[in-house]
Amino acid sequence: MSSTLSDLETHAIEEHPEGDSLATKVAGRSPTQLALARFRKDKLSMAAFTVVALVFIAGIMAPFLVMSGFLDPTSFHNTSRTGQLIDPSTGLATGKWGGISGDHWLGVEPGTGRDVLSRMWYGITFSLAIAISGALFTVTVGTAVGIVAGASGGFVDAAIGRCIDLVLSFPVTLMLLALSSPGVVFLDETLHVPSGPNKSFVNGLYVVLVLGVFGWPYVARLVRGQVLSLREREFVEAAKLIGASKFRLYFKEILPNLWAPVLVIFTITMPTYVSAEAALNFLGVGIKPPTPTLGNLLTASDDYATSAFLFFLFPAFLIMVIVVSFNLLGDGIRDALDPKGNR
Amino acid sequence: MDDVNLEKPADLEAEEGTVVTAAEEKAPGETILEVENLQMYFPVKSSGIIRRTVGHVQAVDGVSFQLGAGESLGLVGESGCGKSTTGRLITRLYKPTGGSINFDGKDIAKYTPREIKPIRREIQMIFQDPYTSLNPRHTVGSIVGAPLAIHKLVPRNKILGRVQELLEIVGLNPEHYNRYPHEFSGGQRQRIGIARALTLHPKVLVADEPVSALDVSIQAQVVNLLKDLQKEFGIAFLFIAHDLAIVRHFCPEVAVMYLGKIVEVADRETLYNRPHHPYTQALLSAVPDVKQAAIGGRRDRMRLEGDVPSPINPPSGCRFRTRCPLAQEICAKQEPPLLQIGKRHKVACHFAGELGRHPMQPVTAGVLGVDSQGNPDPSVTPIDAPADQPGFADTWFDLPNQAMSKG
Repeated sequence: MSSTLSDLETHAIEEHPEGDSLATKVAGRSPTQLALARFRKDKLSMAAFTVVALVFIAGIMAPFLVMSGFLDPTSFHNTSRTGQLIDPSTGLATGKWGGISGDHWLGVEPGTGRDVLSRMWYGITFSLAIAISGALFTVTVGTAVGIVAGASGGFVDAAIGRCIDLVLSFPVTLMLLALSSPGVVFLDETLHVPSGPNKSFVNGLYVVLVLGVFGWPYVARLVRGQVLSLREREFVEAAKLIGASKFRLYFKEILPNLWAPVLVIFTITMPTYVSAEAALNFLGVGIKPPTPTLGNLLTASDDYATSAFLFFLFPAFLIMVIVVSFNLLGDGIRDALDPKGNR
Repeated sequence: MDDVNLEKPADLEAEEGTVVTAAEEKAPGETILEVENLQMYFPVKSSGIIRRTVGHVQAVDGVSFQLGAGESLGLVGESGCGKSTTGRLITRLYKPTGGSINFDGKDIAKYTPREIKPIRREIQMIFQDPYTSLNPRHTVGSIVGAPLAIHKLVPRNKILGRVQELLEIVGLNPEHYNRYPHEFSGGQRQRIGIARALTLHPKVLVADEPVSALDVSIQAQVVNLLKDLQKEFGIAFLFIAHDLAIVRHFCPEVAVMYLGKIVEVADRETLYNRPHHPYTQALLSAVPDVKQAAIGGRRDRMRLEGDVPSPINPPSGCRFRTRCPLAQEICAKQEPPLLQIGKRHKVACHFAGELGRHPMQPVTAGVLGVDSQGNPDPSVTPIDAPADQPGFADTWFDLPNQAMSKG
């Protein structure tokens, strides 16, 4: 590469012969293209990307599969074709493997006999929806606030900084739990948010709001730091010098340089929100059954951790796979975007 | 924007070497930029929630000079002496805290951001570091074409053509407009920066250490490119550098700055051969001399003791006195005025003289109306010698005669 560049340098000084063969050979590649090329070379990241893509496809397909009847997450099954499915005395599925059969590939839920595979598959849709909306909310608000703080400096910056400190010093988990029922009631009755079947929309929205409201400060701090360092770069001065407006300065010159860190934040926030949804659900905040999420599946299984071991294992394992693959994807994207950054 | 101006670079491309001067343009040599008593004090804030101003960094303190159309003035000095700040004041990246910048008959020093926008087209800048002065996320085409789009000088579909023209002018392959800065070497990046500065066809170009970040082998190419461009387009250059050899090569006139003030201005020959200010003499004696080294002889090197004083609290009187081998009492009491002592030579020193032949008595005593200790002396009638003026006058203060003379 270096020899090519020095060749170009000498070429640049000389007259340019028509049809410079060198120019056609060296194809221009944008920073994004280079990052993609680096990403493709990283096998682990590509594997993580594949898993994440599969999870996404599964999540998008699930509602249609439910509509078509292929997945049935809500019907109770007391009996199967071969006989009794749920033992009425214990509530557990009959047989050794939690009711695994040709009809119920991952067994059935103890007590109700709902199909575990259907519930998990459909649960991906809701969990991902919450995680994505929460992460989008977090990143959008955080980036906007961060740019404003970094761009304005002075009093505004200081005020936003104190605001961030304030939000970060809240005992978040405790407040969430304490505020969950009045919060949901407020959304439902005062703001008249359409509640959806089983109030799952309102409950989900509450979780998203909470994740976003308490998540943005981290993003804002990071983005502010980036803006502060970027705006001292000479290309920003150069843009000022050619008469660029403030809008152009921040959104055309600085923002494109922020996409990389923001994208990384997004992919790393997503998995934490998937597990946060599960944790919140366990504590009683979030979408309630019969609408499935990975969180409430896990919550439902905690009584059966020993007696119906597999019913506990499957959703836990799925959450683990999702979180690990998202994290690996985030790391991979970060490394691809910043070849100099070390882990 | 008239069409003549738009087409200019293209015309020049065709007929190389012709200097096209539009009707409204200044004749070469006529003053285009006059800076008078320019000041930039940056406030120093205390830490804590209530940030009071506890002092000022006097980065630039009373700088005056003139720049003629199509000419170039070199600005040299050590790091932190305010030369880059001066450049950023003239381009109005900073708003000066005092003084005037007279460009083309308008004092742009106090212009608001809105008023300054049309002036941006006339005064452009080449930055020091080609690695940070180009946005890594923009293609060369969008970097060079941005000024055209912002000022709406050219219809959108014509921008590409103009960009390619400009790339060719600065010696880059016009096919490369679609590439990103990281695909270019340092020298090529600097050429991109130059193309961007040329896009608006400026009358004044501030070159802030344009080659100091480059390889020595590339430096000459870029400097020669700037020289060619100056000849072709008649651009006036303010060439900021710390490399004395490059300034000597590029600028017929050179100003030396120390701690926010100009201490000596002169044409190239005078400044490099007969400097009168001890600081200039020290700077020049620090330049390694290959010829001397080859013979084995050693020149006496003037060594400056100590560090540059803080610009927050500069020394009283002459700012150089803390490190000056000639300093006497008057230097602490009286600030030496920037006196014209030759046809194209000004110096701010009480003991101005050629190296080794500095006078024993302050040459400025008569001008300031003080005795040799710097105390006010009512018996001395001050000689009316203009000091701290931007340009050169026809009469000047002749050092040997201690009187005004016409040469």
